[in-house]
Amino acid sequence: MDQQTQDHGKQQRRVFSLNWVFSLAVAALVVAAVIGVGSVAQQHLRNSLHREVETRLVLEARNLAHVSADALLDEFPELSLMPMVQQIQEDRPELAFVVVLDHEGRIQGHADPRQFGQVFVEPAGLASVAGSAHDGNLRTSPDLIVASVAVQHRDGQELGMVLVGLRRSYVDDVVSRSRKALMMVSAILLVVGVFGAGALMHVMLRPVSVLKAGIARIGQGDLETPMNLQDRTELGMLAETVDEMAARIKASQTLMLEKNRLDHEMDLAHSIQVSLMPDRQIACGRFAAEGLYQAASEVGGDYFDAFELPGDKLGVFMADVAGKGLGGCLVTSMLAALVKARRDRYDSPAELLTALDRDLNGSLSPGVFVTAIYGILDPDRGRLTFASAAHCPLLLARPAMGVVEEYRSEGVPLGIIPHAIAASSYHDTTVLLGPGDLALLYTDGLTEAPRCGDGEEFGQARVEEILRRANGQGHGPVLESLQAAVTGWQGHESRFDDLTLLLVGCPGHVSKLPETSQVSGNAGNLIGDLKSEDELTQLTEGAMHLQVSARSGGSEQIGDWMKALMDASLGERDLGLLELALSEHINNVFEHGYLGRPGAEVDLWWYPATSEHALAGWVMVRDRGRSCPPASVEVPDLENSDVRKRGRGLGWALIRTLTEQLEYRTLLNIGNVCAIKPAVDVRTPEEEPLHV
Amino acid sequence: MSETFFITDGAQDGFTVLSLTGRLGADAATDLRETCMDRIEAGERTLVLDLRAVPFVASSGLGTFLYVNEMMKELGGRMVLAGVQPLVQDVLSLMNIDRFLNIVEDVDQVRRELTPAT
Repeated sequence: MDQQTQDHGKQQRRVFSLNWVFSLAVAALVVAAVIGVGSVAQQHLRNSLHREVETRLVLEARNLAHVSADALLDEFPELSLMPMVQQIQEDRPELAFVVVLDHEGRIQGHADPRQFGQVFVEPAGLASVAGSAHDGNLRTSPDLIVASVAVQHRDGQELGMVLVGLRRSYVDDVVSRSRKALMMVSAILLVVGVFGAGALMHVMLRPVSVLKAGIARIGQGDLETPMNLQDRTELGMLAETVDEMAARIKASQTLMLEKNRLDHEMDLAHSIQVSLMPDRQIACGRFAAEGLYQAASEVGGDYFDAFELPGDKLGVFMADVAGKGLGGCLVTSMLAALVKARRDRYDSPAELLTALDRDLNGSLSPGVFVTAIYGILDPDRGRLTFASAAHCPLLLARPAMGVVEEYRSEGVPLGIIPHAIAASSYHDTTVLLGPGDLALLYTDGLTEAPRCGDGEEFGQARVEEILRRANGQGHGPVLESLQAAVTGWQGHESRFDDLTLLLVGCPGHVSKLPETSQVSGNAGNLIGDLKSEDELTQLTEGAMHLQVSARSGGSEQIGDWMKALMDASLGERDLGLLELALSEHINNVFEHGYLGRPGAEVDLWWYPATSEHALAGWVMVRDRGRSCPPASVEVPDLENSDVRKRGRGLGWALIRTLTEQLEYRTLLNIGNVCAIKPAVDVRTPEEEPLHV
Repeated sequence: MSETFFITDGAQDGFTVLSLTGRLGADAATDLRETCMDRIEAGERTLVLDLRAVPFVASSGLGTFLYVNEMMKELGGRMVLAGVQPLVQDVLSLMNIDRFLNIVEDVDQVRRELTPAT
């Protein structure tokens, strides 16, 4: 039933006054009681009267028989009996007749003297009364009640008979009068009872009226006027309960209003936070950035932005403020404003983070800090330079190679430690984004999302697996895949932390290795097809092997080893340059593959040029660290004095310069394999004049 | 076997010669950078790196050469590489960074250029 029908039914329903209902009910009970009691009393009275009249009639007959005994022994009994009977008749007009008979049945006493000596003829229709206490003395007819008593001498001789007849109408008249009196009393009782019941109900049900009025006030929204019903019955307790209930409803309403106000403010804060983040793909040349923000059950502290920078570059920023609610949202808004104000001033992400740390230092409440990552993409060169302040690692998916590279932050969070120390921890890192490569920036709401049930975190490995499969997909599908995976992982549990993702890359293209990484002939296939350590052993059969511990700067062992091999195809200069290239590669493996962990092993195999092996003239290096393919590292632009001043990042450029061909593969169960074909007799560019 | 590398700090008339001995790898490059910065902070504006005894320079060493060179240029000074060995010279040339550096045959050439003709 819909609301309208319910309202209609409510309007049509008649309401009966409880006062009237109770009054009528009590009045009905009083009437029934009075009538019932009256009927019983009347019946009882009638029976009593009958018994009394009969008893008196018999007694009168006996008295008359007693006084008539002596008279009947006289010679002329009529002389005393006649006046006596006449006197009785005069005194008792209700008697139909009084007769004294002699032993022959002749009338000796009668009110009518003319009847003297006549044989008495009894009225017709007389019959004994069954069950009467005066059985034998009393007979009745429809009109009469007749008592007959024998007149006896002292010696027991029967002298005659006395008959006294009473008109039944007299009895009925007496009963009728009694009934009228009873009815009068009953009627008075009835009236008193009905009015008394009404008055009593009115008094007793007065609290109901007060309750009704009070509840009606509550229904109309007045929760502040108490009923204050001074009543000691259950109705008084009910009124107190209703007053308390109204007070609680009032308190709940106040709380609810406060909560609604807070919810409204939180909605506003959420709207502001969402408005800070782009809701569309930001394109820059052939690259684009696209983000996704899914709020937690409360306003979180995540924030991302993608924007164009001077020089046709693309900026991407992401931050995670420790702390949720309005506080976190305010810091996020402040951070967004700072980034917007400062981003055009800095070409270096590390410098922007340094500036932000200076701005935030001292501005944040104790315990509040911000992790952030900022990247600048040069779309012409495909270079993404980024710096991180303790933010989640940047993941770089290179689908063509089936690898996902991880770049962990070396910086400290913004605004948490003295600025001078924090500033020195921010460094720029540059990676090359090839076609199809995707860089993912995210917050810990992705990797730390707990699984419904056991709370296991989603983890970075699952993220990497999704990215690894994202070959050729656009930004949107990859973001949706990540979101769907995390949502499915969490099940029906409400999201505790924000989910914030930002993808940067060249959408819709499948990556190809740069020319410098292509292997001529079938050499690339040989190492690319390796599936197991046994196959590697077969491939390296006949090659010269050296195992060294990776460490900073490569290893002097390599130079000695190569000289000992005395490969005639390489001159001393070529050997020196190859030693340098291999040392650089091992140094990279140490720093980036093994993350500076000492003692990790690197295998080298030398295939002499004079051999008939398919890899003749190649050197193969194998490590088991993280994948760090040379294609991911940019060639430093040495024309830029700032690049020269940094004085870093020349390693891979040197390797490429000193090698004729290079192939890098990350292989399951084997590790990273880098095949290098050294440059033979590489020519030096024409020297320019020296200026001292 | 660890690399053996050391720096001999020798003050000359009007300039400082840092004589390097050993393979200039990553750790050695860090030492060299710190030594050069110490000399620059001490006020030295002509720094000569004598590379006669350096047979091997890794990329970190090349980066250090560029870094110190740019620092000196900003401060109005200069860094000079002297006695560069053939393999190192080849690397500088192949990387095409020798054009940013001042390279001389030996330390004496620097001294001659700085000493006015009498």
